[in-house]
Amino acid sequence: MAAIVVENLQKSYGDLRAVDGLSFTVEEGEVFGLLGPNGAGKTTTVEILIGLRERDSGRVEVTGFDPAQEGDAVKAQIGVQLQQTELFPLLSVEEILHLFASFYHDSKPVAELLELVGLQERRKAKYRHLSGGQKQRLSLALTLINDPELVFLDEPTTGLDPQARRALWNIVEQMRAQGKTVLLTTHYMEEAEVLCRRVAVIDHGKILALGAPRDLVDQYVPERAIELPLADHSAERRLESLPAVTHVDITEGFAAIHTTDLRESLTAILEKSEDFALSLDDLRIQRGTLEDVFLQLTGRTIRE
Amino acid sequence: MNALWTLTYYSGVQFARDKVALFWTLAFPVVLMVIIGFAFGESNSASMPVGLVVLDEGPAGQTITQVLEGIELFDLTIGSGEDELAALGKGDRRAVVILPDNLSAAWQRREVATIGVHLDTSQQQSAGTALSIVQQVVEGVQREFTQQPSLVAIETHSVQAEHFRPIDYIAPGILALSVAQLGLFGATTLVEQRQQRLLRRLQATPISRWMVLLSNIVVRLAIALVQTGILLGVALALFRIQVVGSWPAIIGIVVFGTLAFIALGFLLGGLAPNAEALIAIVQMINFPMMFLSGALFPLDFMPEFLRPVAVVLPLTYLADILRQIMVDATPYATVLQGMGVLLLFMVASALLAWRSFRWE
Repeated sequence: MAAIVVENLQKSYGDLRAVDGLSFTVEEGEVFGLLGPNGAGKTTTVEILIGLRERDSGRVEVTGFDPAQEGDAVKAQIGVQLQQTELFPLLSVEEILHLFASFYHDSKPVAELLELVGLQERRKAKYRHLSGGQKQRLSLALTLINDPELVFLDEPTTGLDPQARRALWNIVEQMRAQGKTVLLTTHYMEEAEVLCRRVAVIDHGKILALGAPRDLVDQYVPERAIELPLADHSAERRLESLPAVTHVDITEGFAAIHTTDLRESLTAILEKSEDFALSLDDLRIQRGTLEDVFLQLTGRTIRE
Repeated sequence: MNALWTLTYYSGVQFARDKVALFWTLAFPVVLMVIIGFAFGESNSASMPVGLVVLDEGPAGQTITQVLEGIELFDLTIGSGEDELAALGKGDRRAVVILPDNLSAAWQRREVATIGVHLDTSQQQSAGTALSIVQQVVEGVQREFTQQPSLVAIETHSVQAEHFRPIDYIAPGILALSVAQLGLFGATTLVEQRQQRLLRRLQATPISRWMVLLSNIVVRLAIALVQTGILLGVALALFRIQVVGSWPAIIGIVVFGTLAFIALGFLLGGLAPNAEALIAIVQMINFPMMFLSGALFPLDFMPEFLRPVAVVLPLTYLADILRQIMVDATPYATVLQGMGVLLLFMVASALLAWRSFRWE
């Protein structure tokens, strides 16, 4: 059984079509990403799925229930993290966990959750004294308090420094290891690539592409780039004449040789390396990223 | 039920840890009462009301009357013994001086005459002052008349006047005001939580909205009761207020009043876009209400054109009811009428609040 089924979901705010015919299915046990820029309709979709917002039309099923009809049944079975939410500033970490535990029929031991998110040391600290990363970790602990099979994470790492972000990724990876289904939204490509088995790239409320990150890259950005150290521009023309090479970018002493056929271009480079006086010491091969996929699909970068 | 109790408990914990909120709700009303209480505790109006009963028809009585009339501190009323003593009993006089009918005759015979001085000993300071002035005046006149020392005996009578001191008026008024303010600010926590999207987060759990509202209301009621206890404790200990009404009645009215003003507070919380705006709106209501209702000053003190405002302010009625129940003050409206006004106000506010309150 699919954990989430969404069919032709529509939601407008006045003239703005926030969600414009989304359809996707999240399988049990997978980490599924909704990837898109701010305002793409990710949060609206999540809010409809967790029963916080009414949809205009379309079919939605979450753990077998329609959140618009059986919101309480859905809420009892899922874990939710909303973006930009402040909790009770004057309560401690452990008090907040106890409070939320009381909202559910069954709850996990607070000590276990504190350990999972690494907040044992801070369990007596007041919420307002926590760092941004600690607040997010607490908020992840809260999503697990009822030991749900399905967890929604809306922009879990927005605004965090790289270290705090990695700490959060670890927690999500533990959720995945425990076999939980996770639906997360993000506008960080790297996050989607690291965490998600499949992503749906969304813009203006529509799905532009859906699949495993690697497959999407292969499909939309089949080119590879061979990177070499290059002291001057003299070899640029000659590199561009190699087979299957589309173009060459030279920046800061490196040449990025874009190719449609990696094997053919690479063989040629190896053959000509002496003629061209190329150094192979730092040769690297770069795949495209989801960032490139998004650029390819929309003509802009995701942070615009 | 567990969820409701836990939510209420932690809302209370939050409040107890909020030092600013603690100061404004628990300490400030007490400070206000103590300041006003000490400033106006004893009626220190410029003149002291003194009653004079002249039974003597001779020259001594006339002269003493003239001299007493000349004393600026005294606001002298000459009347019958019965009227003046009654006025003293009600607290309208600090002292009543009775010149006996044999005064002139006794001094002519060089005999001691006994002057009666009835004092309101609940106002010790002014009683003492009045007594010493009267004594000096009478002895001075007597020396003029007789050229002899000490033919005066002063017989003092203490009266514990059941009179109404300003503090008796102010204490229930401040209680009413505090309760009203507690209710008016009642939605600030919710509005802050709405602003920080915490209400939305709570909506994503299985607890229902009414539990969130109810826990807030219960905590406010508990604070109102603690506030009442502290205010009345200080009023009893420091100002010796005589509470005539029953405690259950006082507590009942406090709860009722808090609920009525919480309804208004929630309505304002629904209208205000954020916590800052809410506080501004509440203050815009709070300050005029403080001074235009009868909570701190009797309505009679108010300029005629402002009275219609007081009549429509619910705080006027809450203060009036508490005053009647606590210190048996002369009512402005009956308890039943006042309760009716408050109930109407509460139901109307609650209905509008129900329509206007937003969760995001």
